[in-house]
Amino acid sequence: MLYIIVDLLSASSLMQIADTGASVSSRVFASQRKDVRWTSAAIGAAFLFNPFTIATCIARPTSVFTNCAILTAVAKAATSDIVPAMLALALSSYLSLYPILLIPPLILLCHDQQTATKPKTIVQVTTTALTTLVSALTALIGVSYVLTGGSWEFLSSTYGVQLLLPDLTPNVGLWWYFFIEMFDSFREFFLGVFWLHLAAYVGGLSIRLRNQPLFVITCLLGIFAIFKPYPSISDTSLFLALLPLYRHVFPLMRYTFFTTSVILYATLLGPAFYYLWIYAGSGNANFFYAITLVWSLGLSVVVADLLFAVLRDEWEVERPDMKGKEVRQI
Amino acid sequence: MTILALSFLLSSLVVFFASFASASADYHERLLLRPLPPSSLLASFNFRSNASSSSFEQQNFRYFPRSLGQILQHANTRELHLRFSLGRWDAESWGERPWGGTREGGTGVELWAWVEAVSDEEADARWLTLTNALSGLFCASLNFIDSTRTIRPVMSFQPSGHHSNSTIPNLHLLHGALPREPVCTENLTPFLKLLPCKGKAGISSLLDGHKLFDASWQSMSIDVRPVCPEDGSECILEIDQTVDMVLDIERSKRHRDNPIPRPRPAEELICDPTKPYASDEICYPLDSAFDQPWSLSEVFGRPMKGSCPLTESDGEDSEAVCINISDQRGIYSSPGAVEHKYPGGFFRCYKILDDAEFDFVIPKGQSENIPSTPLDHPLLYAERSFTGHGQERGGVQTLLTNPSHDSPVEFVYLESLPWFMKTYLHTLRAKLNNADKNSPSDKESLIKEIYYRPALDRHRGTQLEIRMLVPAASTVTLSYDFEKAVLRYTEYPPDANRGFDVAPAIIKITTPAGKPPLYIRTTSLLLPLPTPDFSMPYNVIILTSTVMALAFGSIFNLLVRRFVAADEVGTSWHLKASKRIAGKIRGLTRRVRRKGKVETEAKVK
Amino acid sequence: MALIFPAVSTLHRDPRLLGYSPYVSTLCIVIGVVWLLLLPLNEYSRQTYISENALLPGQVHTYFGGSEQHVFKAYKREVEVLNTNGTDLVAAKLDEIFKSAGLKVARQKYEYTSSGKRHSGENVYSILHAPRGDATEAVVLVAAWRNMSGELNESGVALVLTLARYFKSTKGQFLCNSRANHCLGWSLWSKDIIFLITADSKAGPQAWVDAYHDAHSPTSVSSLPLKGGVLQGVVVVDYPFSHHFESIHIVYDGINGQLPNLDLFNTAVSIASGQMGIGTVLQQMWKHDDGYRDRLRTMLRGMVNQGLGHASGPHSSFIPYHVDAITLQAVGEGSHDEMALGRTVESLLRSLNNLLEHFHQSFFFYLLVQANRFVSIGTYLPSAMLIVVNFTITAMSLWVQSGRPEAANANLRGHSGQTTKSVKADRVADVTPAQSAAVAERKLFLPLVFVIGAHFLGVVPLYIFNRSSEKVFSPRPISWPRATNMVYQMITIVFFSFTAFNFILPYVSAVILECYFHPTRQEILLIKSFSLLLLGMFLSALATLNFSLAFLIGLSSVPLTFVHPIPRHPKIAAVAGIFMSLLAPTMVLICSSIYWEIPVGNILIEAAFGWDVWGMWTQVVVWCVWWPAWLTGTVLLASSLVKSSNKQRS
Repeated sequence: MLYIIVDLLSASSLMQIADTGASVSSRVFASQRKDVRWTSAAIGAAFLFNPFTIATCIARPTSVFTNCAILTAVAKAATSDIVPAMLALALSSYLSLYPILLIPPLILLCHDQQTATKPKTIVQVTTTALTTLVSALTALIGVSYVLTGGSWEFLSSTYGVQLLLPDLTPNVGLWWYFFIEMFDSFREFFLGVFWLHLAAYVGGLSIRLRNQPLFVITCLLGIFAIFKPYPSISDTSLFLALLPLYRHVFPLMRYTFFTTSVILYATLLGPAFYYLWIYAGSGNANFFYAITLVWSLGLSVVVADLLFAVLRDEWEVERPDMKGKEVRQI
Repeated sequence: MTILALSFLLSSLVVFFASFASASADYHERLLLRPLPPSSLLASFNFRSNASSSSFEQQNFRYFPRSLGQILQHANTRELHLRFSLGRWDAESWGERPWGGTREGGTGVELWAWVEAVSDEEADARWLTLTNALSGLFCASLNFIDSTRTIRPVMSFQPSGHHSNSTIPNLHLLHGALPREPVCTENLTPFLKLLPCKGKAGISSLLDGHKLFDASWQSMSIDVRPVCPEDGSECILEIDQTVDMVLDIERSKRHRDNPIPRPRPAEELICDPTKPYASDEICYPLDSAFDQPWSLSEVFGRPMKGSCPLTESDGEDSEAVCINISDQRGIYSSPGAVEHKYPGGFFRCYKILDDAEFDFVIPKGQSENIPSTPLDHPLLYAERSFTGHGQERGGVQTLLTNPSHDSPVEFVYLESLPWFMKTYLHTLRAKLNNADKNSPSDKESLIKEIYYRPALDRHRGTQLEIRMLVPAASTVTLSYDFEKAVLRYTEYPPDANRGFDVAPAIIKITTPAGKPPLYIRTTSLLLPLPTPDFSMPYNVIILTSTVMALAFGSIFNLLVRRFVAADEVGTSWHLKASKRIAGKIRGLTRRVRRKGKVETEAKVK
Repeated sequence: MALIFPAVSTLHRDPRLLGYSPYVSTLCIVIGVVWLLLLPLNEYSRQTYISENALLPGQVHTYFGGSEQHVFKAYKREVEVLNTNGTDLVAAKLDEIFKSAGLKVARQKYEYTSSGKRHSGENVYSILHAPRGDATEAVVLVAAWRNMSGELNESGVALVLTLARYFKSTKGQFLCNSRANHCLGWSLWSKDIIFLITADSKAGPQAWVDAYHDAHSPTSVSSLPLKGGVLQGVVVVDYPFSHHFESIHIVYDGINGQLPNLDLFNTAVSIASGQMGIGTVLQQMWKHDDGYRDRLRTMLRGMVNQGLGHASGPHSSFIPYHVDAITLQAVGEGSHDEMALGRTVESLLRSLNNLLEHFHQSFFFYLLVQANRFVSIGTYLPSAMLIVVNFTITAMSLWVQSGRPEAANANLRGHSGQTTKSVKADRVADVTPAQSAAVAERKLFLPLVFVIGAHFLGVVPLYIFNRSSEKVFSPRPISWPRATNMVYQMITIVFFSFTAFNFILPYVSAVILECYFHPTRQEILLIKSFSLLLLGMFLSALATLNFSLAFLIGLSSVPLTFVHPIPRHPKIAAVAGIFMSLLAPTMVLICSSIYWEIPVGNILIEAAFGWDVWGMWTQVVVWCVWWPAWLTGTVLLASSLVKSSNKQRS
């Protein structure tokens, strides 16, 4: 019940985002296809009736709270009220660390979506945002410090788990098997590499797509759903929730069918192989591992393809004559 | 009759301990034999030697083994209990455990000690030195008792020695178990070395590795504790070594004459003639009614080499060998040994000459009317097993049965679980089997108190202590669920697919005040965990990195490149290639067609 | 990747592929079938070998025999007497016999109700504790009171009783077989041995193994009072006659087509043939001249058994719990007596006793072509995968087709005559890429709804066939004979009515589809594409779980690849429609029942029983994967009929 409510909340904030239309047009950028889009109701429904979302809701993980917080943050940012957005972001990162990486695009989003006649400069926005965020986080952690009876141990046993991956329970991600098989001496090094890899996307995307921060967020969420330490289908469902906002670039995507079928295959084969490994005992771990590889590959293709479509869309803004022509990248 | 005998049996044993407790002499040993149904024999050896605490302080050891003593001093260990056990005590047919279970451990090796230290850290450090030293001394891998296998029980153990009030606050109880450890002769030899008579003389000369480890159940124990007499005289440090073993008489008699258990020759079969089809070809077997003869040397493979000269020369303590068997049973003992029957009809002891070999023979039970030795039944039966299947999660279920018809049993149930067995405490359930459904929730009424210390990954195991009671004549099912963790591939043992052993649960039955508590241990469990493919490290690293590289590459590729229209630049390699190939094919087909045409024209002409 | 993707995309857009896709998929199918047919050859099948070194099959002396034979005869008499005296005494007597052998005994009552019939009985089992063992591992020796065909398993039960007594009396031995570092001990058994005698072969073992893992429903199955450790292996003895036997028939199929570890099978074979000199047969191939024909037949029988996924013996119920099990069935009239079988079992148990780890070394996916030749998964999986891939290929090509505007499509309806033309068209397209690059927007809603709806519709027949009879009889489950034929008649009637309904269903739904939704050509293409895609995915997932089932279904739904809506030629469409309705799951079921001369009713009752007791999901696959795909295909055909008729009317 609680989880249904949380999902509804996320859906409502999703609809807010859709209403702002930040995905197609903002103060600094407007797509040519801004008329092609789904209604916010449709988008909300697409999120709610997504099988992944339903499955998540049934499984009742805590990650839905994180997702809800993230969506709220984005929604608030899309309406450019900085403080609540940052509070929500603080909450989500307090719950599960990785959303902290969403700060830059969120700040940009807040900045771009301002409707006031005399908009704040990026510096002002950043300062307010960061101060709110830091104070909120310190407050939260302070509270939990008090609640745990004045010991800092909870930090290592909560965020430590996120950072150091002591728990190797199989999931759809790439980390678990990698670190099961990793040699002890290299474990720390590769942990560093993986986190760096995860963080690397933030900078690149925010700079290149400076004009479409919302899309940067979408893209990052997709990447998190693939490369974060303990990914699950709830993260995927979050990404797929934001996907319909880009209805207008779907025609520009090249491998929709291919990727959909890959992901569907993975969704069917994953449980089958997990069953073979864990219950039937007739298959070994490699079966399931292979499927997680396919799954990650499929998702990353989706992300890359979406990215391509958006870039192309952006490019057509500056060169309207190129619409519907063969393009190549050099 | 049996009741009387039974009570006497107990009382005699008590007397026999009491006589030790108020010990004046410094070394005693005694072998107690008790036949068990259907055809087994319980032999419990007991060796006990003392050292006055002053002489112990001055490292002046007489009977007390120096090697052990120095270890204890070095590790500031005030009280030590070490157990090597093998097999399973069959309570249904063998009844109460010897020594009330206080002198036995779970399968494998079990060690608990009271270490004197000011802080937990210091206690841990000393515990570490203790385990390492002991593992060297007893050739057992006790050094594997690390922090993940060490617990600090709260309710289950009490110090059995007398400790001065000054030390008690600084005493730390630490407990570790190695269920996987196979107990073997390499553990017996150092054990015998600790004895003053070193297995050369006295009852210890009966201890033979092959026999001992062929036993259906055996347990070796070492207890070191300080004892302060009531009269306020000087405290003594007392080391108490016992070896309990249950021998299958038939089996241990066998492999001298005929080691290979071929089926009995037909004439030895006892058949049921009443069957309609009975003939010498067809035989419905009957189990032999009365027990078979045996002798000391048959059962132990060798006679006893006199008595250990260091024991008392007279009095009860000098009687080295005792048997729980009906007085009406005639026993032929070797000359020189003095038989002493105790009142009650089921307990007799032998005083043995120092130098002569000693042996006795118990002939075939002559008639049915000789009463067999009474067994007193245990207060509680415990059986623990896994539930569920699959390698993701499972459950543990313990059946605790109270056979008595009138009195409930209260006890403390201690589980020490490895960290990769992640228990869900909220699933802990205690269910009264023969209770009606709408009875009030059993958990409250049955479980009195829970002490739970959750596990930390790779640092410490789960410790679960439950004080609960089982009402009279009923069975309680205690169950909880757990999740199985996946380990790093370096953390698996060589035979990973066998599974991991889970230490037996320890049950301490609280008896009415004044009596020592009784202990029961369940069997150990085999926990299968999901295993990765151990041959994969390189492949996994390569494949995963490839996927990441692909994603990274493609995304940044898109980010850094810029768009141009296709017709603004030259066509790329693959279009060229495909065009060229297509052109060739077309050319080929054209040529073929033309050739065909030419031929046809030729034909026409 | 950045280089590959454009390449892929251009290929996507290349209409030649579309033209070729039918041929490609045909090729896939042909190769797949041929591949399967090649498997029995020496080049593709391998000699079996033991990969778990600890097993040491046939390396031990077995002493079962001598006076034990007298005991055996006596027990057999007892069993016969019990059989005549009626079943209620059986459990008590067996209990007594085990007790007299000095073993711990326990019983278990169970009662299942499936399709109105009551299956009840009482299992008796006893545990021989390994001396010095610690209740961590156990091996099970099973004999069912009545075997799969309902005969009294007299010698089997007697043999297990005798062995129990024999093992108990000889549990110590001069050999040392327990775990390496226990080797100083003199004891032989390092694992507990559980002797289990089940009342029947179908429900009894299931009830027992469920209860052993506490996966049972307390209402129908009582839980076990005695338990051992982890089950490491199971051997079932089936010897339902008293004369000497000729060879041992090894049954190894588990429920849902899961197989025991190949090592267990190999051990049994090598002990029986190598040590005891008893011939071994499998899959009821009583005569097997190691030729291609017989090998193929063996393999196909194996595949059918696996595909049906029903229990083929008491051992089948153990396999889903990751407990490897086989049945040794004495068959034929020959020279070997019960003692030989007893020694085989003893030797087999000794090998299991040697195991240090749970079975994990050898293969779990294999097809046996002969007692000591097998085909491993790597070799046979491609055949099924190729057949599955053909669906996916077609689905993809249809997708791309549906993406192109009608004009571009006009010339490639996948007919050979027009490919050259299409090539020309494409050359044009090459020069001005704009036209081919422009992808028409696809209307996904109707197709998605239709396909998903069809798949959910599959639940209806599933429910009907598994539950219907219960709905009728649930108030009062009645005694055997009457219930049997009542259920039988009822279910048969239901089935045939459904078949008839199934025959007209596509046409009805087609009319509805045409008249109310007026699907465009694109939508029809998409419908087909989606349903084929789903079929392909389900089958590929299934192929990893139950290869044979996936292969059979894939083969029988191959025509779906080629049925196009052809409104132009109603006659061809009609013929194809009839052909399709002959390929309906129901019709296939009827044909197979005629072929194997089993009445349809029994098959369905068996299936319902499997669903209720064994947790068998063959029918789920049939009704929720195969049937919807078939339905969609046929509906498309029918829709073309309807279209043409509409045309004529207008």
